[in-house]
Amino acid sequence: MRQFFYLILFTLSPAIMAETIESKVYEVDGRIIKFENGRVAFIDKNNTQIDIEKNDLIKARIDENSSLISFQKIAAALSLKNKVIYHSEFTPPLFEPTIIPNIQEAAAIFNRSNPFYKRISECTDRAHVWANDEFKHSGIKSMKAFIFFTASYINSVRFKWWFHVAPMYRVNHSGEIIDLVMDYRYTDRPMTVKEWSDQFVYTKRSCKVTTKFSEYDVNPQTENCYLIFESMHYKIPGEIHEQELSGRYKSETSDSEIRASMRFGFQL
Amino acid sequence: MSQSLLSVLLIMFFSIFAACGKDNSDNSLGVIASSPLDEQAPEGTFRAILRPMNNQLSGFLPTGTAEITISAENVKVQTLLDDDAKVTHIQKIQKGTRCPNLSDDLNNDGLIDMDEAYKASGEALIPLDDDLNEADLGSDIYPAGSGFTYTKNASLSRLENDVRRRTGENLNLEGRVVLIHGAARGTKIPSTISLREGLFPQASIPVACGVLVRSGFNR
Repeated sequence: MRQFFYLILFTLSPAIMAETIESKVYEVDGRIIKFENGRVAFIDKNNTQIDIEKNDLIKARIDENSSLISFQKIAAALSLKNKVIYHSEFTPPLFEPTIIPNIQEAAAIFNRSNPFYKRISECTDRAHVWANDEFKHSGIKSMKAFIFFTASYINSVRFKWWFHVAPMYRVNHSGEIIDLVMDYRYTDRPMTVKEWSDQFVYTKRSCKVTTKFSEYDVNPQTENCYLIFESMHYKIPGEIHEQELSGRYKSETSDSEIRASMRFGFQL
Repeated sequence: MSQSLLSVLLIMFFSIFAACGKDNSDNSLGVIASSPLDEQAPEGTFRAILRPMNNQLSGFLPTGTAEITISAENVKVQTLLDDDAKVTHIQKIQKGTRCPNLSDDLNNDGLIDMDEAYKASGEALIPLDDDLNEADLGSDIYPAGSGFTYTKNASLSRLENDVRRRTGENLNLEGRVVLIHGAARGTKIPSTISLREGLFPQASIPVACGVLVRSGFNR
């Protein structure tokens, strides 16, 4: 009987409740831990010595404000350079996204996005599967829109992610060629890049468009966010970074990548 | 376990789960999903993707799904929400057929409040609370927690009769809106938002919305 009431007390006590993030650390940016899965955790000012470094694979408990409560290193993770990334070409591949003939067709693509993503899934897996599904279905080649939030923006609104990605399609809108982002989980229709970024950037400031990941990585914190547009084959920020470091481009999507994204991101 | 501790725990339980008032008014301001004469299609699954509203309330964007399956005399409702606000989430099926958007922010305060949401999505049709059979039985006990799974079953005929009695409409789920409310207690919300039924601002503010569509395939 006593255990039952303690269980109720535990269930009702917000202070005890915590979320667990299990991911590799992308980097520690000041008092922000950026995880490879896109989430962030905040290190309180009282915590002066946190032994967490880039590439550590950790299991972190965070409170409802995303402040780090505790963490445990699981194992040494591979460094980015040792990670298997499917870069295949030294010269920029010729990648031309398909031009969708009209807005109605763009809406149809949006509406046939697989809605059965897992509750706990990463945007990288969802975007990869959605883009690949459409390519298999209709042969349409799409882009990926990556949005990166600066530490100053993350701190200012206590934002819970440091990057996000979704498929982006090139569309003929009454003679004008526009790019529309199809972020099926977070928006109810295809959106222009500005409309899409406004969903996450509450200041409504435009994000600076760049082609270099390093511009975001070493930014002087004057921007709220950065945008990088890549071909549908790019899945994670590490691949964009790797392209910049090695000069090798990703020009294909392997079946094993898609199988992994399906397994992690969707209910099979 | 002493009687006093037992009492404290029970009071805590009910104060958290029954903190919100119910809106049973039939003041239809929104778009009507279908004619009240339309009968509910007998069987099938209706699914809504719940997407975030009023995004600027916190640094986390709540998402989820609502799935309603009608099979013979049984109605099964399941809603899932992932949020970071560990609060009670009022959830209702509305009469209307579209989720609110920024053009529904009539007082231009940057937020869609409860009144504005109801004008866009219609008044409440069914509270998704502790008892689906009749609105009065559910006692305004709504799911609580940041990530919750809510599953309830009801008798189709009882639910249809109750909806018809309270609203004059038939239970026609196709195209109806599912609206979920509730931001974290400390969320700063301007005094310009409308309040209903004694709810405090954070409890009343809509945070996620979706439109029910007939699912093409059952899982």
